Amino acid sequence: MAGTSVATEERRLHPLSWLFAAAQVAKGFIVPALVVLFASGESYELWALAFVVPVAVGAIVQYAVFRYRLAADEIVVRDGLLTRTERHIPYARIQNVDLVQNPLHRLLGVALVRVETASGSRPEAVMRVLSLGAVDEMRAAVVAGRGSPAAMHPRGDAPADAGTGLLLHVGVGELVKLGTISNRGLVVVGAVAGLWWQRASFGPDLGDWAAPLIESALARLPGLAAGPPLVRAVLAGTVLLLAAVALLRLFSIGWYVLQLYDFTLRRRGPDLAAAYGLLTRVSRTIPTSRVQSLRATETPLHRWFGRQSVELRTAGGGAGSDAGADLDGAGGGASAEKQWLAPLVETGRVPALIEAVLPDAGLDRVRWETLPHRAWRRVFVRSVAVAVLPPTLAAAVMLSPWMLLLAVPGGLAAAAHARLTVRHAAYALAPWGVLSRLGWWNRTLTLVRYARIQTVALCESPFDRRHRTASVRIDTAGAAAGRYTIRIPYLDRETAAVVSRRLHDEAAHRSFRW
Amino acid sequence: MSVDAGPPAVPPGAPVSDRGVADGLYHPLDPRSVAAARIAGAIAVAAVVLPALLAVLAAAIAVPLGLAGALMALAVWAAASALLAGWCYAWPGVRYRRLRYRLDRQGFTIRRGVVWRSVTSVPKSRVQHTDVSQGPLQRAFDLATLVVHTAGTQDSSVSLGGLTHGVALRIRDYLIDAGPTGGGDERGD
Repeated sequence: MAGTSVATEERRLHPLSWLFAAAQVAKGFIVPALVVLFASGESYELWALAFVVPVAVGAIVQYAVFRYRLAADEIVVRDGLLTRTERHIPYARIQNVDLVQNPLHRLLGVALVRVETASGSRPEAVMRVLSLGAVDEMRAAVVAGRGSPAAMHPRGDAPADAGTGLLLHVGVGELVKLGTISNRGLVVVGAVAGLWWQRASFGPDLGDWAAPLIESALARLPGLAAGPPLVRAVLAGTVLLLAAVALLRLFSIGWYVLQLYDFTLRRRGPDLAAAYGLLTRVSRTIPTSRVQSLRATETPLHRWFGRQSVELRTAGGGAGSDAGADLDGAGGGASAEKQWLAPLVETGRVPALIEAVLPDAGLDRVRWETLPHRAWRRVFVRSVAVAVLPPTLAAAVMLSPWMLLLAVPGGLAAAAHARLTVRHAAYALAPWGVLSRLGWWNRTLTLVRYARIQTVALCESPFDRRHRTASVRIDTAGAAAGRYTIRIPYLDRETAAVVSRRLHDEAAHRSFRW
Repeated sequence: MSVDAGPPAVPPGAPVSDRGVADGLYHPLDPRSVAAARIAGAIAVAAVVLPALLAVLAAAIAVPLGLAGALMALAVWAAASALLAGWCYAWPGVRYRRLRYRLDRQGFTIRRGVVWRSVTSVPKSRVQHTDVSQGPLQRAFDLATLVVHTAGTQDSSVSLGGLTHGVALRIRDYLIDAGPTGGGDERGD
């Protein structure tokens, strides 16, 4: 293992880098160009190809001018031909050094490297591509420069440390379950719909041949050919719906097997290392000291399988947008900084996993506080409005009071929902941070250290005032867009004031380091 | 620290106490901010109402409404304009009465909201950087907007408009004065 003795020498990218840079650029042009060629004989977009050549030349130039240096306490990246930039990235600021390897990368023994700091939504530096040896040196330099006692392990997916420090392995069977649980198939449907649209806007409509295909398939189903038209329509609709759901789940399964195949989570010194992917293999370190929040999720299907999903959020460069969906780190992964700690894990193992990140969590000693019982009325008023208003409106519009009967089950459901919501919600102020449990149908457990709290807000809606309740919201870095990391709703008003004051004090007493 | 804004801890316009800005008391904004907000509102109302009047007149000429129809249209216009103007006059005062801020050794707290109320606390150690800005209208009234940036997501910037310019500067100086953490990543939002 190379130490930092050779640290000051300037390095280049791997000699084959231009190939990947050009491929990256070409990908953006070639797919649309092929679609256009395939769909119609028109050649106006072929002119777009003329742009590919200069950009490819640009990729080669980029390789020629790109330099980086592993100094004693920072990475120095120099880039640019006409406008030269020199970027200093202190090791202490680096959140992550991520590796992405698609099959071509693996064939050639290279990897795309993303160096992430807490700034913004983009990686601080993307090195397309480095040899694996160079990656190891960089990681070693980062670990040494950060001053953490982590051993200089080789890459996370190397067999050298197999069997040691393994926290979690998610096999194909588990991924099939995960695909069954989740709605991820919509991503695939979206992509297919996009292609369809593109295709349809140029060439003949795919629906022209898809519709008769579906019709003839339906005609072959026994019992469908006979019977009154209404029954046939309903049956056909049901069959189509079931087929669509099944197809979505199949897409989901395929997606997860592709993205998360052989997901392993290992302990590497004080940090964690995750590696996953079937074709494109991603390997990333998760510095436990930089985790902003943790969340375990349990849907009814999760409960059916006895599993939970655990995700964590860092203030990293956003390239980890949902398990490496953005494979080349170039697209706008935006603000999604969610990473899987465990895409799927037995419910009983969740506390141990959480304690791998928060060693002092002491989940079995946490004293949970519940919501005041009367809060259920506050929830009820809101949900009953949703349940009862439509039938009432229908009754008014159709002048048939019988429609009001429909409101009865709605009202009962709202009452049950309100009771269950309040019964299952809980929060706790532990010595190290705050925990919240929300939801009775989809359940979540969220954990945030006091040191990671950015702002605390005590909120009161007009409905809250009526019911003497209030909610407390906690904001952290790296939260999902449009959502507070922790929201404790329907608290007793006085309790909410005390809780928010305490959270503010606890946060103020601790310094925040990324 | 209830969401209800109680009686103001300090009379409006009173000088900030001798202990500096971090006196741990709830302060109202500069009362001149109400006048500034009303002028801004008047400009906005005029920008909507005058074109609407032109449209009404043009419609009255183009479409033969008759005298009664034209008067009716004008009456509708006048009523809508009066409502809008009344709202823009009343709202800044209501909002002003419900807004208080507080600064202490722990950090910065803003209590605000008329219908939806909130108390937002930013610990001093979480302040990444701060901005003090002044628009033309604010300059005329010696007012300023203070924006406190944190590393958070929803509340990555907490802004407070309508402070006296000098007070905004002093709050800024206090907040960025090396606290428990000292530095931090300046690019943190």
